[in-house]
Amino acid sequence: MFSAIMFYIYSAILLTSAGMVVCSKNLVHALLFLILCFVNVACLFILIGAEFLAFILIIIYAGAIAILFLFVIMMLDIGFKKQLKKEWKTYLPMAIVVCLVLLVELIMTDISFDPGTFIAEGAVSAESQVSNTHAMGQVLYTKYFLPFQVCGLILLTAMIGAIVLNLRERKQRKMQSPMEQTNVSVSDVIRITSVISKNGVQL
Amino acid sequence: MEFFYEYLWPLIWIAIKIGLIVAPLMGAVAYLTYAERKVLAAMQLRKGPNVVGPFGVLQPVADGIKLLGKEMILPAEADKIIFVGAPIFAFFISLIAWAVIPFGDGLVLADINVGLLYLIAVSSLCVYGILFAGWSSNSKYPFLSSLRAVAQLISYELVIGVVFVCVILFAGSLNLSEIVKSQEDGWFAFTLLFPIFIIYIIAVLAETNRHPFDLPEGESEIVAGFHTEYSSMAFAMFFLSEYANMILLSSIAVLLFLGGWLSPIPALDFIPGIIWFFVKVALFLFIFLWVRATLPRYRYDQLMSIGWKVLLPISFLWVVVVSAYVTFGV
Repeated sequence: MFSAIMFYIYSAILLTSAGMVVCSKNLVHALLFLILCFVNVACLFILIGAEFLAFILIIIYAGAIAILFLFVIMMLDIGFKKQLKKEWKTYLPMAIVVCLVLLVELIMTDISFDPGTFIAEGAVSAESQVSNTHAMGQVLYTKYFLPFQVCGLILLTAMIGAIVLNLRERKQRKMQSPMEQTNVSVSDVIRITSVISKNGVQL
Repeated sequence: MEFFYEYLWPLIWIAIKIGLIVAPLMGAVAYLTYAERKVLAAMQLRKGPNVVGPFGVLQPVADGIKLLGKEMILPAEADKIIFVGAPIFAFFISLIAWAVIPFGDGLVLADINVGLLYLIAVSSLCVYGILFAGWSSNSKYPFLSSLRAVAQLISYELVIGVVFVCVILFAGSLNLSEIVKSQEDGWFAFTLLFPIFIIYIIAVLAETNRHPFDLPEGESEIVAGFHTEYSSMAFAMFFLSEYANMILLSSIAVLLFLGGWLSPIPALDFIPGIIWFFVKVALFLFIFLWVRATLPRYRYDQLMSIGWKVLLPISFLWVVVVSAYVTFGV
């Protein structure tokens, strides 16, 4: 009974905050609600006993991806409210089309989805004594070794791509090289001369 | 009556346990500030706080009362809800991590299988308190410094994550109690993991915004950092959460590398484990104060290049070394 009550509480918060992500006028507030969504999904995962997935979800989505979004949104000073008032009519048909497509897709998946075959194939039986994390590792590194590695390679490619796109040499930039700084010897920077009276020093 | 024993009593019992963790923690935070001032004073040949009470031991109490008595100021253009919520969130996050810390054999609130993962998750949420404090103040110094702080935190979190991976590989478990128990033959700090321990110390200094990496509140550049606009209790909450985080990361260091509640030599086994734990945490906290008194502040680009170009590659290399060692058992 307890977990059922908790399930409904978390789901209610999840759905409300998902709605608020779309509805709130301030983009930063929208992102706050998105983070609340992630945390609630993690709570739902914990309720069904998938603690590894729950914490990974918080670490990756709330801890990394949402922060990157926030960085971008906070730095941009977009007059979102004014723009929304002016242009919402132009975007409305497009939005309706997108929503309809998503709705149809959801309904189609729901009709064709058969949980029996889906779960029985990959999952480790609930009775086994190994912990969640061990079970996942055992499956990932044996049965799904190749897809797992390919996923890694795809992510690596994307990462390298992002770096290459952003890498440019700035010619005007003044840089310090710690190597050069520490390798300077006294004779390079100091000249000791004996000063002759009334002649000064030749620079 | 059944309802009481089945649901209510466990709930009350958990609340009592939480109280037993939080109350001493707040005391420890208060006296960590006192210890910090005394240690710094001793290292600089001064006397430190010595007026309030004998040897100034009541100084933290006086400071607390002073902060409580001040007025809380809301900046005119601030986002009020987030402005007030940010310090509460930061404080809350710094407390919930303590749920999985084992103080002794079996002395832990929640002995979950993925304890270490939980700690990483909580510390990745830590960033939001700072980010929202800076953004909602609607003032340029807090905003800039919160961006700076967040960039610093997420880069060093990565280093700490990789350090945790090494420890997990070595111990073969994500459960903190299991990790401590696997150190009975020898603390991890004195094995192959020694370089990782040093990297952890450096990363922790950056993660808690302490000297020499205290750039988020570098007062010579950006006033007081992300909490420039905060006063009174809201400021106190940031302060408390910062020091609670220091104690937390020291406890994690003790659990992962210094054998947790285990005694250093078998002859001293008669001393209870919880005392060993506290002594080790206190010694590790001393490193924080010692470093603060010794080293000058880094420049921001130096900080980032140390994190990304030195610590991260070394710790990744060490993941490979440790996993080779674990697999082949050289």
